[in-house]
Amino acid sequence: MDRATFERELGEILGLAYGYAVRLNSGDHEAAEDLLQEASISAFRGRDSFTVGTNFKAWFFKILTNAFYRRAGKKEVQTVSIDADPEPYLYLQAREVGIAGADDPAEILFNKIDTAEVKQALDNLPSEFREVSALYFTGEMSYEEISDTLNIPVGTVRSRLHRARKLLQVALWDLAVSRGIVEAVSYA
Amino acid sequence: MHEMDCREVIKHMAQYLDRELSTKEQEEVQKHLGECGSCANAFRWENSMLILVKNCAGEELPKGLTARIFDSFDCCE
Ligand SMILES: [Zn+2]
Repeated sequence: MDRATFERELGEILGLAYGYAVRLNSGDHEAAEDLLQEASISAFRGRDSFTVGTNFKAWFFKILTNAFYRRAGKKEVQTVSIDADPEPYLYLQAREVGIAGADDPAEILFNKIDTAEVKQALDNLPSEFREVSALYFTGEMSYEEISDTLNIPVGTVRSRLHRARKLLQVALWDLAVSRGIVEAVSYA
Repeated sequence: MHEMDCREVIKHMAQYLDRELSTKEQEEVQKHLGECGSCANAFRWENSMLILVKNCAGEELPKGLTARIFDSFDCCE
């Protein structure tokens, strides 16, 4: 792949990649920038290992992920993910306080949570869940692409994502409660 | 034909919202949601949360970073 083609391919996904890098680094923008720089050079050097016609994004995100773990000086911790009981946590909490029937949950609750607080909730996830959710929420990837990028089975992607979603919902609900959003809505 | 009950529908919720189900499963879930208010509510909450997080998770690429990265390729061409 020549340099111009490489730059065009990379340029298209750099924005998503930056978002992914920031989340991997728990919100540290400076570290994310360094990481993206390092991964880009290493991808450029190894660009002949990319098979034209395959998924450039997954290829690059894999390089980015590896660079992150190299910098962090540790191998990815492979813990056994227990399939979380699928539980619609937010809905159950909402039902508890009598607001589950709301036509637009965003209007009564989600829109009142700040962007920074949501980012914080993502950044606070344990690393094995943070990585998967970062790819899912910022990388706009399917389960298959995430599995490809992280070299883990699709079933593991699914169970980690489910678990991450549950943890996020708990965090967001706690936030809404502590900020008085829930109380204000349910007694309105 | 087998019909999904609430428990099964909730079990398939995440994959349904992520469009990761087969067409047949997708249709079965959809049918149930048309008939079951509480599952429909649960799906609405879940989806609303996903939209919120997706909207908040990304970051804007810092100005000039793309150019800096592309320039750095000069060293190793
Ligand atoms: Zn139901």
